[in-house]
Amino acid sequence: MRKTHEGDARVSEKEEKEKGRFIFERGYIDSERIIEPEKLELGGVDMSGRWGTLVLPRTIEQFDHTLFEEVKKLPGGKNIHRCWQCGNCTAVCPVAHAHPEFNPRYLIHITKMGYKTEIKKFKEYVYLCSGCGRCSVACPRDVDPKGVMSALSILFQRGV
Amino acid sequence: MDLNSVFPRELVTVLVVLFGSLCFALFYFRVRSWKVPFYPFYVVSQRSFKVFVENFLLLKRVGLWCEERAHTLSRALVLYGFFALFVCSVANYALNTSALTPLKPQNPLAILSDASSALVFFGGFSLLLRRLLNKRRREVTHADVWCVQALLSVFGATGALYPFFGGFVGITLYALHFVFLFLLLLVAPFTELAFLVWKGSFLIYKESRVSA
Repeated sequence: MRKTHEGDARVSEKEEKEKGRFIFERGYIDSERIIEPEKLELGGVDMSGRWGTLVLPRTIEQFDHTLFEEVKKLPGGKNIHRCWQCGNCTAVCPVAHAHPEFNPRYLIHITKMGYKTEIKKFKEYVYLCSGCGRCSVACPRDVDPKGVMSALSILFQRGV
Repeated sequence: MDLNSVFPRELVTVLVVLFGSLCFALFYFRVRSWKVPFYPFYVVSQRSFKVFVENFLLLKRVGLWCEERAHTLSRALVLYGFFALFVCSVANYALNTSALTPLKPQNPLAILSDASSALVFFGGFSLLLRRLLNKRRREVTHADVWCVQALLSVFGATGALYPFFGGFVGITLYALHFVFLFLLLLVAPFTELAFLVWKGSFLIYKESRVSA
């Protein structure tokens, strides 16, 4: 079963790499925003192939602050609004060194922003927090990132 | 003065079962108050045993990224000490039916129990000391953490010391050992341990579903 999962992951990773491969500085664009229609015709002219690649604009239509408000209600997350994004928490985090996807500063940032698509992308990494508490000691604003990660873990499970 | 006549075996057993059940119920209601599912029984199922042993008993998750060895070691001492003490107490209950306490010094179970209590004490006390000695760490520590770590230390210390004393001192230490245990069972569900238990059981549930 695990092999199948890994196999699926490899296939989708390959597809991701292939998608929009002709775009200059492709790394800056999320794969979801690249559209490559198999057949595209505009005014009777066949535009299929790499000419037909479309990149959706990076606009945020709606900020959802539900998660931010819910985090503030839980004991560990009450000071989340005080974060000024210094990044001390991430700098001292031993998990972030091993897994760069786990970034407490960025998780706090997207929660405060209410950036839904980013939260969706990174929410699984919240559970990597080992609860050592070094971030809370390093934080100059008493945010308690460890507590914020605990609050986020609970809220993601709740489906907020 | 005989310890068994002061604290009858039946009374101690009933109190331990009562407070243990109360602790479990409080854990359950605290977690459910967060409106999330709780999987306490899944942890002990056969399917998740390997994940439980690897991640928690062998401290893979706790120790993997923790650069601070003293912190990991203290957590390990508390975990193993508590686990060993539980096993010793159950074994003693099953084998030593006539005289429960004080255990005779030559009894191997007594030595193991004593060593387990000492492990809990050293683990709890070093966790406490780690926070006490650093000003910034002291400032950011919540009251519930102080409470749990202090209770762990005194629980371990009284458990390790009472077999060495006879008479009034021994009985007082023995009584205090249980008082601290009951306090710990009552306080634990309202501390960050509740989150750790929930997250631990959730991760075991999740990982064992993936690996199945």
